[in-house]
Amino acid sequence: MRPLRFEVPAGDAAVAGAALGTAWALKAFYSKAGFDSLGWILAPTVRLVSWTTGVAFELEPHHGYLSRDQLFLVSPACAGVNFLIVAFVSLCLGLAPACGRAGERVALVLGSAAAAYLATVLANAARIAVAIRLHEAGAALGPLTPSRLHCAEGVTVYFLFLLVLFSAAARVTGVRHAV
Amino acid sequence: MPSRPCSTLPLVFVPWLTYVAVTVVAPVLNGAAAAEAYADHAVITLGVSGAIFMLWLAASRMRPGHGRRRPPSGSRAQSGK
Repeated sequence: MRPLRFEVPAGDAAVAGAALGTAWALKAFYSKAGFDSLGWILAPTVRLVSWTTGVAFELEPHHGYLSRDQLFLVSPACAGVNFLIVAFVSLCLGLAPACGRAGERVALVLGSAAAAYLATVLANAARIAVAIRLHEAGAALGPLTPSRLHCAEGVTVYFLFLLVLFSAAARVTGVRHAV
Repeated sequence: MPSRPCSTLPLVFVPWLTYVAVTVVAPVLNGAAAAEAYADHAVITLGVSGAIFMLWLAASRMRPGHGRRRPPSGSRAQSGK
C-alpha cells in the first residue's frame, strides 16, 4: 500500500463541499419528513417490489404501503434515504480525482445524484423483497433474532449494491482506486 | 474524464468509510446512541459491512491483472522502429 497523501486540489474540495452540503440538507429533510414527503422514493420502490415479487401493496394514507397478505408495512423508515446519501457522497468524493475541468465536476455531481437515486430504488427494492421472504419464513438464526436478521440483511444488500455501483462508476470514469 | 485518472489515495475505502459515517457515526452525533437498539445496529453494521469489504478487497487482489501498471495517459507503446 502506498502512503496516504492528503493534498486536496481546490476543484476536488469544491466537489466535496457540494456533496457534503447536499448530504447534510438531505439528512435534515429526512429527519423531519413524513410519508407524504417521501413519495418520490417510496412509490417507485414499492412498485418495483410488487412487480418482482408479486406481493400486492395498498396505500395507507400518511403511513406507508401495506401488504395485508404478508402483514408487511413499507414505512418512511424504509425509504433508503441514508443509502441515497451514502451512494451520492461516495461517488462524488471517490470520483472527484478523475475530473480536470469545472464542467466535468458539475457533470460528476449531477451524474452521481442520478446514479445514486437509481441505485437506491434498485437496492431498496431488492432489500425489501428479501425482507418479505425472511418475514414470511419467520427466519431466525441463533443470536440473530428476526429483527437482527432484518438489519443484517439490509446492510448486506445495501453495501453490496454500494460496492458494485462504486466499482462500475470508477471503471466508467477511469479513476484508479486500488489499494 | 481522462485528465487525472490516477490518485494515490486508496479510494476503494471511500464507500465503506462513507457508509460507516452515515449509518454508525451520524446517529451518535444526533444522540441516537443512547437508544437500546443502537448497539445492535452498530455491531451488525460494522461487522457485516467490514466482512463484505474485506472479501471484496481480497477478490479484487486475486483478479487477473491486479497491480499491473497502466501506461501514463498520452504515452504510446513502443513500435520497435
